[in-house]
Amino acid sequence: MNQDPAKQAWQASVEIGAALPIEEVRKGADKLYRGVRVRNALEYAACAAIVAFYAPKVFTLDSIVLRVAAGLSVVGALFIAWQLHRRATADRPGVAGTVPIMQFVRAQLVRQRDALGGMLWWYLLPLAPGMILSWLGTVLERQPDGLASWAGALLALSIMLAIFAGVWWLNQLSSRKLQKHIDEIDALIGGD
Amino acid sequence: MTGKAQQDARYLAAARTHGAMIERLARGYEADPELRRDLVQEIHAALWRSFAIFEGQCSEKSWVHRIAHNVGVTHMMTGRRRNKLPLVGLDQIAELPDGDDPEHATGERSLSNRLLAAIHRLQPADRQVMLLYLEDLTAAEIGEVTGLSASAVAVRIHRLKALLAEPYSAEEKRA
Repeated sequence: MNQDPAKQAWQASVEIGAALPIEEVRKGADKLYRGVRVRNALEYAACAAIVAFYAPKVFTLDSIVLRVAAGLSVVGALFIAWQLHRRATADRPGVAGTVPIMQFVRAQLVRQRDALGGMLWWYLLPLAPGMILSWLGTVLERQPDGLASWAGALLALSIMLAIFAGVWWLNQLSSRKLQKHIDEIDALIGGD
Repeated sequence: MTGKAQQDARYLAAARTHGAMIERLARGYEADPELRRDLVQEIHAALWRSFAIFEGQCSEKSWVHRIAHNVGVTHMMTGRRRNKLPLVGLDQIAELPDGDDPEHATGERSLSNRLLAAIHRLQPADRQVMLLYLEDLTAAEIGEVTGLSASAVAVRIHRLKALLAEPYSAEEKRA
C-alpha cells in the first residue's frame, strides 16, 4: 500500500468501479461518432441544397452568364462535398491507445488547424467564381442606369466579399490559436 | 473464442481492474455529476472499441490510461465542461485550494476534495501528470502514457511534490 497520504486519499476517494453492461458499452461506442456523422450529414445536405437549387438554372435561365454562374456553383458545391468527404476522418479512440496522449491531442489539433487554415482553398474559393459571375450576370441583366442602382449593385458585391473575408479571417484566427497549442505541445514533448 | 467474444472478455477484465481509476479520472476531467456519468460511459465505450486492435503495443495499464485520458482531454477540448475559469499550470498554484465543501469534509475526504479542486484548475498536460501521479504511476510510466519528455515529467512531479507537501509544512509551521 502506498504511504503517500495524497495518493492514499485520492485512491480512497473512489474505490469501486465496475464494468458496464456490454450492450450498453456497444451502444455507447456507436454514439461516440453520432455527432461527427450528424455534422457531416448537415454539410453534405447544404452542398446537396446548392446543387438542387442551381442545377436546374443551368438549363432554364435566359442569360448565358447566369447559366455559367449556376454551373460553377454546382461544380463548387460538388468540390466542397468531395473535400468534406476526404477530410472527415475522425480519429477512432481505438487508435488513441496506440499513441501517447500528447501525440494524440497534437494530431487532432493539426488536423483541425489544416482544415481551418486551408479553408480559403477548399471551402471559400470554389464558391467564389459562381457567386461573382452570378453578381455580374445580374448586373448585366438589370443594366443599372443611375448612380443609386450602381451603388446598390456594388453594395451587394461588397457585402458578399466582406462575408467571404470575414469567414476567412475568423478561420485564420482559430487556426493561429490552434498553432499556439501545437507549439506548446511540441515544447512539452520535445524536452523543456 | 471469436474476435468479438475476445474483445468483450478483454474489456470486462480491464474494466474490472481499472474501473475505479476510470471513475476517479472522470472526476478529474468533469465536475458536473451528470456529464461525468456520460464521460465514464464514453471512456468505457472507447475502451471496449480499443480492444479490437490491442495487441500488446504497450502494457495494458498504459493502454487503459491512454484511452481514458484521450477521451478525457477530448471532453475538455470540446468545451463541455461548465467551469469556465482560466486553466493554469502547476507552477501557478501555490497551495491546494479548498474543496467544494470544506465544512463537512475531514481527514482523507478533505484532502481528496482539495486535490480535486486543484486538478480542476489545471491545464491538460499538468492535469494528466497529476492524475497519473496520484494513481501511483512512476515517472517513466507517466512519460510512456503522456508522451511528455522525461525532463517535462520530472519538472512537473517536482512541482507536484512541493504542492502536495504544502498542507503538512503549513501544519508544521503552525505547531
